[in-house]
Amino acid sequence: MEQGLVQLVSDLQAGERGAFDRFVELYRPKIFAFSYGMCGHREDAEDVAQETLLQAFRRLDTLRAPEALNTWLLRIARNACLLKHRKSKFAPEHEMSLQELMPGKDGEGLPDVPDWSRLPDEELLNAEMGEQIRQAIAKLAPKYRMVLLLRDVQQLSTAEVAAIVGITEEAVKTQLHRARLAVREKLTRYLKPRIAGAPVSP
Amino acid sequence: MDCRELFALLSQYLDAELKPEACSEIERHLKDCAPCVAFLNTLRKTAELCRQYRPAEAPRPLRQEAREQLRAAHQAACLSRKSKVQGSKSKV
Repeated sequence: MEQGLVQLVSDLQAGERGAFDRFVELYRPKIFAFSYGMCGHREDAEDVAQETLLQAFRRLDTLRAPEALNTWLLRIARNACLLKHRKSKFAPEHEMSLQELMPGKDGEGLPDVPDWSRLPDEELLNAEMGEQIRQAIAKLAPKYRMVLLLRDVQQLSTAEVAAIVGITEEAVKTQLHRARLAVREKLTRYLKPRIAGAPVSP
Repeated sequence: MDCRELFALLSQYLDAELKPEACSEIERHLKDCAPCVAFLNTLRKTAELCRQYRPAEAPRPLRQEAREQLRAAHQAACLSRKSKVQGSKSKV
């Protein structure tokens, strides 16, 4: 895979026409998927993808490590998303604390937790659940949404996410955990009526 | 380790980012705490579902105008690169 990337970048820098088409075909959907998760609108995501690819071509010579093409592109996309965000009306970012994300009361252990993880795949992988996940991710404040999209949806490493977002690896882990907890909470509220009679953890 | 201390570490535990000693403490707690087991299961499933998540919409095909804009940027960058390379060769 790495060798393929190195070759693609080399061909792109040499001006090979086929490389241009391959690059756009391969990376436009990836950048769109990330941007759509951040922006929530197809038109905005397409704009971000176009701006990202334009910047990428203009700055191709600054790509020092061809193997890091994916990370490099997502860093450009992240900046393009932030610019788009600044132009739109947005509620101020809400800092989530572990306290508010943990069920139960202070000083006590966890109350009974409905274990919906054992619901059948037909219930967890259908279109309705997909929409619930999309809404849960969209409701996250941008900084948590970005880390979740990069780490879990794009499946990048902690180090890669830290490099793209410009934060420490510790900060990535903290923000990811809070993002996952918030999404889990929303999914739990949605699935709770469906789990009466579902197995309780032994 | 109590439920609250464990709660803060669950994602790192799922992602295998904790030291073995911390993992052992967590596993000891989980043996006797059904709510924490259920919570961990649902957090694990949440992360799995996010990994499988794909946006409901795909990008529309690139319009000709947009494609030309990208191609022009690519060609300009390649020309600029060639002239830099030729410029540095002529100084040798």
